[in-house]
Amino acid sequence: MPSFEIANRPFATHPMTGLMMPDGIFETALGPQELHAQVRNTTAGALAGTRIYLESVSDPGIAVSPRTYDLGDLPSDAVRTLSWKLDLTDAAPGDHYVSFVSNGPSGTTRVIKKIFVMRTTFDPVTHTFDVDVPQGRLNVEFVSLFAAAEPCVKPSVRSDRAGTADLVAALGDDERSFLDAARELYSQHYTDFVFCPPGYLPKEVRLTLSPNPPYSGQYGPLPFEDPFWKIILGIVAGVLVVAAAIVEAVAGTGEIQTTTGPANDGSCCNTEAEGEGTNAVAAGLVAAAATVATIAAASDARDPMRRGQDHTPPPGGEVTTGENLKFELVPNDPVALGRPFQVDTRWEYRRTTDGGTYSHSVSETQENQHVLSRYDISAPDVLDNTAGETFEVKAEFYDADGHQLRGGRLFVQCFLIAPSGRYYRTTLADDGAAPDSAPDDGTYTGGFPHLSREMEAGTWSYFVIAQDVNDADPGMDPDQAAQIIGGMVVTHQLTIGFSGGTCPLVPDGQVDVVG
Amino acid sequence: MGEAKIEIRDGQPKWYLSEDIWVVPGSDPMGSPGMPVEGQQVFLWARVQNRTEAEIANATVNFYWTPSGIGITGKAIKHGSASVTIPGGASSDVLCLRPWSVPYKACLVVEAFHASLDPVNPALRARPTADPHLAQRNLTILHVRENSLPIGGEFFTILPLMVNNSGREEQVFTVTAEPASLRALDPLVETGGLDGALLGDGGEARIAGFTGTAYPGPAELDQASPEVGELKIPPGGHVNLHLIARLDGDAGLVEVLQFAGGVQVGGMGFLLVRGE
Repeated sequence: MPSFEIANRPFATHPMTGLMMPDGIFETALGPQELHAQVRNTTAGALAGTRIYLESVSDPGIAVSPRTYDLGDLPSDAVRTLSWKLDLTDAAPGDHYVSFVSNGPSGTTRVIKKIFVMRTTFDPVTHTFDVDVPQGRLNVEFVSLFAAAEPCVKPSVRSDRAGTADLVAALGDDERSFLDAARELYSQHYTDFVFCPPGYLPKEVRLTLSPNPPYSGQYGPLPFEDPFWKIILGIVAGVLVVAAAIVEAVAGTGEIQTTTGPANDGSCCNTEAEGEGTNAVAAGLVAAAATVATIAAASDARDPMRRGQDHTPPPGGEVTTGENLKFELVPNDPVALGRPFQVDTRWEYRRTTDGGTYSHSVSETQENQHVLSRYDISAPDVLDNTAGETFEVKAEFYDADGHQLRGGRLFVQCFLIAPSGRYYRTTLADDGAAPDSAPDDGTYTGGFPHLSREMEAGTWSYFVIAQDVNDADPGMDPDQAAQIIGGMVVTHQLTIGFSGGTCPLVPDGQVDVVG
Repeated sequence: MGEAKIEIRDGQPKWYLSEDIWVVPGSDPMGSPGMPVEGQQVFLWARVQNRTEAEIANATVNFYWTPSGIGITGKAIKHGSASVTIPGGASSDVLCLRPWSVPYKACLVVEAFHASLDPVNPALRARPTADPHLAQRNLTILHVRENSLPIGGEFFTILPLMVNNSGREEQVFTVTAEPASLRALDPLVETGGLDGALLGDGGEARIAGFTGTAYPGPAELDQASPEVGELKIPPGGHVNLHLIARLDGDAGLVEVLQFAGGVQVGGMGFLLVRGE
């Protein structure tokens, strides 16, 4: 009998923010990323003496840092999220396979899972982005953005930091895009800057899809035969916000250049985060907002590209060679993570075949589906560092219908930020292993035992950020699977409004460390 | 550098026919071992031994293939990598998840090591029998037609092979060929995916010798010898040889060995089987 299974498709996290990528998709432009796998104990008892490791990846362009975990304290049927570091800088876009192996008294179990890898590149001539997946190339043009009403204080750069001058000089190289620079900054853990993104959310976007190969019939393939194309747009929107902000801060060249449309809509509030910890959290949450607003506008059920195909069946025998989508997003409400905000959208789809063009347009209102009705966090208010007390946090989450979420349904992390700005991150688990008290009971627990006696005195802030997980069954029809989306932040730490001012990051609590 | 802690076992009785290296044909990497067929997709596997009593975690396993040749060559192509954690005194099977499209003829070479606990000794790379980290499966199967190469009233088969110098200096090699017992293939038949039906009712190979040409005449055949000495090969270079043999019966095994300074530095087997 197998000793474990991987509960869902392994997912990627962003190298700077630590948050799950939309739908868990890996992006080569980010370079090193972490792969997270939800390991479930499928035996009737504990897995004493059992070890698990990532064995192999099908793409030789993906480099793995080997690591082995002990599963001995994982109770029966409990799920634990384990992570491995991967470098995807040289990876090929596509769906790749990863093998995991456990060894223990009950024998050897090997599980092979699929992951998705996309590649985004910047075209400096057209100021657009090309996204490559096996099913084709999606060109993304940001016509206009929602930007801050008031420019934030210009970022200061720590020019004394080793390598900064070389990096800034390298950015002047026409062959490099700010995506390349951002990748280097991530790998250097460069987080000491003011987070001041040039834009917060996409406003008007044009997509050009070149299916590979051109297809006959009404419907083209979905990327990776799984998510809708809107996910790809959502990833690009989130990735670019972070990349542009970090490169703009360091070298002043990270602007997401909009193209031929109207000027940016300067109505957003401004986060103006500063300091390592708040930077990482702010970047993650703003990226999450950009992603979820885009995805909400495009509807979870069936995205504009698919609905455009629904309404433009080509005559028999014609081959679709290209598809275009002009997409405008106008939030009705502030974009509030984890809440059911509404977005107005106007979109126009055009199909080009070898026999003609066909179009379909829609104006409608959509609502964010990635919400919690409530969540509860418990953690100490005061911690005596000299006594060796460690910070532990517990969290419970309830979906839109009030049902408690458990186990592998969420990916939950706690960001703990010191008075000095340094930050620490840990995963909260519902696996029944210490410090969690019971598996799959809906209480996610995490701690920072390594900080015992090492927490500086003062007031620390913490954010407990939960993201939903794509739990689509691998056997599902692609159109069904595409309606299940994961990686959206469902907790409520950020609301982006459209009346200027500041949009504060709302921590889930603070703890006074004494001693 | 102490005794190796990690090992991929050489073959027994023929070191270059390791049964701890095998392939799984098809799209399911966890399928049954089988035979590599030119142009088809297979997955590479290796069994790695922990020679210590303690667990070895996060060892590296590299999978290579080389174009048809003897031993480890400078032309070894890295196909993929894997990691493995092995309990003390045990072995673990390791899968390379990158599919391999089988070329015309190839030797599979696998090395396993731990970067800090048990690194590879570069000095031993050119002496595969001396390095437990390294093993190979170097068996080429040739289907022999009844009347393949008529010379002087007999029918022969040409076994093309490449002698490589993977060193950084010119070396002088000796290459030998001799028939080997089909029993040497038993481990590969039992666990290594070699189809025992290929061996039919058995038989043996008879060696005529090496020639410098692929199409020798009777005179050249008379001068062919089962041993070629004084093969001077520059660093990174190679020499092509043609071994002339004939098959009596359904199947026969030929062993080719490469020596430098009296030390074995390469080996391969040719399995001649009857058929198209």
